[in-house]
Amino acid sequence: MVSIARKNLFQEPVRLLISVGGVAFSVLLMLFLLGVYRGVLVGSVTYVDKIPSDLWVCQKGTRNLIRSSSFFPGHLDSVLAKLDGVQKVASITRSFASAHIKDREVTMFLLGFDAESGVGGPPEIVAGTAQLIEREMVVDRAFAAKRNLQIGDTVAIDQTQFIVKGISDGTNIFAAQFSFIRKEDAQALIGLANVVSFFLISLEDTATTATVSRKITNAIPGAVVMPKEEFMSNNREEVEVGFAPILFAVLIMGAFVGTVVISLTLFTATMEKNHEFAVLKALGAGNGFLAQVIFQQALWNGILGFLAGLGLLVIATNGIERLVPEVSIVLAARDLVTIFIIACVMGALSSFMPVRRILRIHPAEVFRL
Amino acid sequence: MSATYHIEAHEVSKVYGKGETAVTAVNQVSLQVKPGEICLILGPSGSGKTTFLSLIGCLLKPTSGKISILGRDVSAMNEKSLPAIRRQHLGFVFQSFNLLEALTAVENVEIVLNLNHRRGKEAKQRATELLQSLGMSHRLSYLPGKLSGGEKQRVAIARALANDPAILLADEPTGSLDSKTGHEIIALLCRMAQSGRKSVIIVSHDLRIRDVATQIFHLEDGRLRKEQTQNNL
Repeated sequence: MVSIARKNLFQEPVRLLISVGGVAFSVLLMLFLLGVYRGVLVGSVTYVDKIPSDLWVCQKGTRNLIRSSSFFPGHLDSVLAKLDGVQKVASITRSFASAHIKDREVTMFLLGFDAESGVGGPPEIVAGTAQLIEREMVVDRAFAAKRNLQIGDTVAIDQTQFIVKGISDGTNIFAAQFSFIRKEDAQALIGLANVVSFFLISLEDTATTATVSRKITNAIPGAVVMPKEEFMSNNREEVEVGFAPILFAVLIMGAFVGTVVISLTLFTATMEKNHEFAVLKALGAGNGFLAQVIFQQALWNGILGFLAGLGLLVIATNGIERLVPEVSIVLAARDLVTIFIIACVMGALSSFMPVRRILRIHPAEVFRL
Repeated sequence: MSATYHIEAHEVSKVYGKGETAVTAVNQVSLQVKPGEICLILGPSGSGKTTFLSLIGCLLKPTSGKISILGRDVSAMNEKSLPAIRRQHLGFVFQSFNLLEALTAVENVEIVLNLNHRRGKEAKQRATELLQSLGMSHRLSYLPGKLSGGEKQRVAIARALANDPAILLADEPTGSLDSKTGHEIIALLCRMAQSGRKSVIIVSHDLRIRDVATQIFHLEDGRLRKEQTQNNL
């Protein structure tokens, strides 16, 4: 069957380029933001996910790692270790600190961990080591790139000089990047000896989460116990609360801009083809057939725009991640499917005005020169 | 009315507008056209020729009167039924050719077959054969922009014949052509009318068509007057 839609679309390459380009940029915008969002979501849970623990214990009022005011006396680990069903106890001390790096003052998100066991330390090391001794640290890869830090460089935190010994990955949540030091060093920086923020509990095979949680809250009044999945979910939620409204707004704006671009170019093209649509009507084409032609043109615009937008993102990602290292773009297959559907819906919606126009064309207009 | 006639118009009128601004474009016109007849309608600009052709072509509905195409009263049909009548029984040839610019010659013919639910190889073959029979075998894949006026009109005629309609309606078919090409197109239309037992209605100023017409009408101020012809006699 002769595809008038496709023929009309490719008849005018410049118009097609404008239309597809407009959609491509709105798709690029949507994919980029969705990719950043997904990257932050992944970053927000990678660290917690990779720690071999079943339960996270924190003070009441703390729900996640990102926004926390949890402090426990460190000696409570021996209390927890004695509880039935508990196999292992580890702890981390979390704090923010002001640091001097290459004459610039920056805020660092510090996690103090047990360097001997390594539990609570960096989930992945891409350079150097995570075996730290006093006044040594591991910094996140994006943080290192942004601050031009290399292994062997020094970071001054409250008059204390730390040497960078390792670079980690999976520790970037866009707004902050985790840096790792020994727990004792973290406590010294806070000025409170033997203080920890979270206990990380590994359960015996026979123990149940509910039973051990109850025992922990009985043993440490004011403690909140969360299974690892719940703690991860809380971290994710923390990011979502801040990010989702912006993402949603940009998705709507992107979709709106794309729809308007297709709609305007298609409407103009339809106006110019007014006479040809009258010819088709005179030759016996029904309104349904003509609406289908317009709809197909609009859909092609959406599909080609999506593909072009995806291509632009692939090209842009490399450059963006190099220019802004804390930006990590992660896209799942379902994200691509979502944006593809949005692009198709954009196409479908944009056909509304041109379709209305052609429905009003009278076949007798064929005699107008 | 009987189906002996391909076209029967009985006291057909078309009025545009209402009240004091009403304009009667076609006034109480009657006409009958048999299979194989070539009917020429002459008239000055604004006489209602195009309106009359639109009425016969089921593009407009008459204000009053009755039009039958192959015995079916099309003036009583609703708007949704008319495209099927146009697809199946009517072929149009226009002065300005009205080819679709994005489609090649063969596609311009194929598309009307597609509209009539004839698709794939069969449609392509039919379109190709029609164009070949009109001497267009060397221009099948040409876009209209690359064709001469005569070639465009041949494609338009092939398109009009694609669904083998009983009736051909031609609006100034030689109006945009040089004299020699105009002659060829007239001969072509005659051949189609005679060999295919088709009724042809031509609206034209071209007096050469008088020689081949079996009926000649003059349309003035919306009124139709029949002229006696040699062919008619």
